[in-house]
Amino acid sequence: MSDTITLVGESLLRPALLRAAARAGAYFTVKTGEQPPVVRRCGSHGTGSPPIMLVPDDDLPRAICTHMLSSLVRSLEPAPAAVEGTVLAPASGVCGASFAGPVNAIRHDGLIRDEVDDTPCRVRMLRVQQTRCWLLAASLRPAGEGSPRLVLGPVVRQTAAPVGTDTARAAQYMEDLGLGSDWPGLLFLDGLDHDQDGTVRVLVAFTDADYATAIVNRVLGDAGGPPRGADGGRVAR
Amino acid sequence: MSHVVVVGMGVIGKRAVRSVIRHPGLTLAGVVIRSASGAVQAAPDLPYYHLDGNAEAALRAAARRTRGDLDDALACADIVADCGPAGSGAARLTAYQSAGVRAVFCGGERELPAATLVHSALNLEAAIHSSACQLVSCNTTALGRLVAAVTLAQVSRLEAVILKCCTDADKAAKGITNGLMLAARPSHHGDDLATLVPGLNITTTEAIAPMLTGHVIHVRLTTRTERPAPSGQRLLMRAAAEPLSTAALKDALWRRPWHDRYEVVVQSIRIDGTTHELWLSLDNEAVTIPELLDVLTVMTGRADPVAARMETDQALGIARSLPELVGDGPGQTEAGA
Repeated sequence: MSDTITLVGESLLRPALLRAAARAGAYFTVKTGEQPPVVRRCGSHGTGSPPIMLVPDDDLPRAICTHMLSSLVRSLEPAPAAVEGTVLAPASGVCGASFAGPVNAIRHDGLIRDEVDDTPCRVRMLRVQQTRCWLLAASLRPAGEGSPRLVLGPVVRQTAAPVGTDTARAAQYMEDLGLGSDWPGLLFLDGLDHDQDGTVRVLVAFTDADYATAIVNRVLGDAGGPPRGADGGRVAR
Repeated sequence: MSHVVVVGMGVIGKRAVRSVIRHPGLTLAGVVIRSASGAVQAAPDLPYYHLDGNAEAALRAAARRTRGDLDDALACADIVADCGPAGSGAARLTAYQSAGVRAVFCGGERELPAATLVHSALNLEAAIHSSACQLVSCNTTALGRLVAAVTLAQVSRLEAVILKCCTDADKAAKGITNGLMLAARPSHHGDDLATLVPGLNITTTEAIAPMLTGHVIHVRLTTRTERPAPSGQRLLMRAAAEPLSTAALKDALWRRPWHDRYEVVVQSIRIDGTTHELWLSLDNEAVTIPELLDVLTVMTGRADPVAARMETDQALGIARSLPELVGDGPGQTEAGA
C-alpha cells in the first residue's frame, strides 16, 4: 500500500501537490480545516509525519520564484555573484486556471530581494494574463573572472530552434516530450547571452512542479531540502 | 495489421500518430513532415518521410534525416491519415489516388469534393467502400454526436452558437488578445451536418474568443417528444449545479498527454418539455481523434462500424462518465502514479 499525502485546508498549490504526489506514487486527499493550510503524510502502517505548513496563497508566487532562483543558481558553474531580473508570474500566482485576472493588464507584485544560496537576487515580479508557466529574464553577474556556464541535465534543458521563440511552443514541446504541463526543472529558451564583462543574460521558463515536489518529498521523508517559505525553512545549498 | 501513414505532425497529426501507435489493429508505417518542429524533435525515432523537395531541404538544414519522400511513404501504406494544413489536401489527394492508397482527411479540409464526408456516429458505413473520406470539423463532430445520441428522428430543431478558441496551444503569434470576434453569417457547421443528415433542421453561428481551453457550444435543441438529457456517443453528462470552468476541466486532465479530451462534456442548463438548453464543451485539438480511428479501422476492413467504435474507445481509454474522466475532487482519495 502507498503513502497518503493529505492537504488540510485550501491552497492554490493543491493541483500541483496532487500531481507531485502521483509522481511520487502516493495517494492524495484533501480535507477542510486549518488556516494556514498544512500537508501531512499517513504511511501504510499508520505511521505519520509532522505537518508541514504551506505559505498562504498570497505569498506563494514569491515562495515558488525564490525556490526556482535557487535552481537557477545551482544550474550555473561557477555560481553567479548576483542575479537581477524580471519574472512574469502566471495569472493566479501558480500555473493553471485563474479566476481573478489580470485581464488585458499586468499587475506589479513587487520586488524579491533575497539571498538565495548565498547569491543576492533582485527580481521584479509581474503577474500577466497567461496560465501555463513562469518566465524569468535575468542578468547573472560573474563572481570572478569566469562567466557562469550552464550545467545541462535532466532538469536543466535548453531548447533548440524553433521551440524557444515563445512559451506556447516551449510548453508544448515539454508536453510533446511526455513531461506534462507541469514539467520539472528549468527550460532555457535561448542560448546564454554573454556580455564583455562576463555578465550572462538568460530567458528561462519553469512551472510549479519543483516547488510542489520538494514539499511532497519532504512530507514523505526524502530530505531533498524544504522549499523556502514552505514552513519558513531556508533553501539548503 | 493495417499500415497507416500519417501526413503532418502538427496539432492533429501528432495526436493521430500517438493514437495509431496505441491502436491494436493499426501499425504506424510512416509520418510525412515538412519541418523539424518541436513535436518532431520530441519524437526523433519515428519513421519520418519528407513531403517534398522544400521539406527535404528544411529537414536537412535541421540535421534531420528521413527515410524518403511522400511516394516512398505511400509505398508502405495501406491507408493515409492526412492531417496536413487546411486547404492543402486536394493536391495530395492526387498522389494518394495515383499510388492506389485510400485516405482520410482530418477536419478543416474544406475543398475536397472527391472525398466522402463522414461522421462515425452518423454514416460510418459510407466509409467502407470510399477511396477517400473527409472527417467533419471538431465542432461538427461534437454536434453530430449530440444528434446521434438524441437520434435523428427525434431532432425537430437544433440551434447552436459556437465559441471557438482563437488559436492552438502551440501558436503564440495568432489569435485575439481581448474581446470576441462575432461571425456575421451562419457558420459552415450546420450545413456540414445537414449534408450528413439530409433534412436536419439546424442553424449554427460562431464567435471567436481569446482562450485555449477548448471550444464551447451553446445548443438549443427541440425534440419531437419529451426526452431526458442526451447521453452515450462519447458525450459525458455533467449534473453539477455549479458553473463549469473549461480551464479547470482542462487542468484536471493532467494524466492524459497534452490534457487531451476525446469526450464531449455536456452541461444541461434547462429542459422545458421538448426544449433542451445545453452547453457542449469539447477539446478542439483532440475530439476528432476517435472518429479518425473509427474511419481508419472501417476503411481498412478490420472491423464493422460497431466493432470499430468499440475498439477505438478501448484503445483511447474513452471515459463513460465524468467522474471516470476527471477523478480528482476535494475530499476524494486520488490514486498515485
